[in-house]
Amino acid sequence: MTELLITRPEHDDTTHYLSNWSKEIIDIAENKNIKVFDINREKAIKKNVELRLNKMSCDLTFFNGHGDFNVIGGHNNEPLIIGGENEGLLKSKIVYAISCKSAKELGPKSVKAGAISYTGFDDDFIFVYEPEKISRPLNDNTAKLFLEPSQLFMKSLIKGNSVREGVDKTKKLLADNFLKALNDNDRDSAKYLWWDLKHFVSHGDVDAKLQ
Amino acid sequence: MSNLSEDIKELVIFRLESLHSNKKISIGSHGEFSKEELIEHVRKGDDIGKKIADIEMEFLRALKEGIVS
Amino acid sequence: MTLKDKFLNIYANLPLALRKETIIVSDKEPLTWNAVYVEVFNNTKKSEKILKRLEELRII
Repeated sequence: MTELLITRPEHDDTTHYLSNWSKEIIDIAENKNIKVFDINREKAIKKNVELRLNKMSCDLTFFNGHGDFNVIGGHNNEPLIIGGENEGLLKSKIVYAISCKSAKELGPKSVKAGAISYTGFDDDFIFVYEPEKISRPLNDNTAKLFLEPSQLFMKSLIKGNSVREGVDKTKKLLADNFLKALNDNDRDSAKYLWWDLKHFVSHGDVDAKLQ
Repeated sequence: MSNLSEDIKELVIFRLESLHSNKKISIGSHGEFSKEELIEHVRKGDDIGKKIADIEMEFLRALKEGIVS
Repeated sequence: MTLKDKFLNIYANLPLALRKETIIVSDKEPLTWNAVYVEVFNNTKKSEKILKRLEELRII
């Protein structure tokens, strides 16, 4: 049975938005008979993530949260995966990390340590949002421009597409939303959509797909 | 990131003024910021200010390559 | 290609929404792509100074 590990810390506005927007992925995965390990809120700590990655085969991992060049963060930014320390836990997995900058160094290190592929951002992931929608993040049409594409990669993989196809679909939606924002005179969203498009990268086997 | 020159600071601040006051920006590892907070960081020329300025200038420079294709 | 030509080529290719963006502050005045276009089109003295600075900033 295919397995998905997803981390969803929720300790600030950013992680609150990411967590809520990625809930749909859990539903889609379960409908496809994928076993989901949802490590959310204060449970998104290193001990729990390592335990799960060590124990289960977990074909697919989806990390939400902050990060840095060599780190994926969890609850209160506790490092979960640290390059040079435990990236070997990602061996044989397709990895997607919305963890800023982590695709720059941790990505290649993970692939070297045996991860099938690592997709994410090699600089900060930026999005614009409406604070008055904080209690209903899925109703935030400004954030949707950014977060819908960020989820599309996972949806694409779960539906059986390759990493390359997922990357292409995500980039196309980011580009389409960029044009939409320009048309709506939302120049600020346009600028940051361009930034995210530029920094969305993939390492490893881009022809890989879920078995 | 080198220090920000005064004219780049001024340029970036004028560009940031267009952001709606009812919106905030999540800048990855740095946090979430309102327009006023971003402008303050640029004025100070601190790491966040330099990051914002870098993004603005990169976007401006990319326009000469033809940003829509 | 002259700086004027470089500017005009870039300007022609800019989405309309972006032409209202400030691209330079000259003598304390913020100038958009559109405002600079007017100076450049009319070959004003100011436009020479503006184009030179835009080149230094690698915007053109």
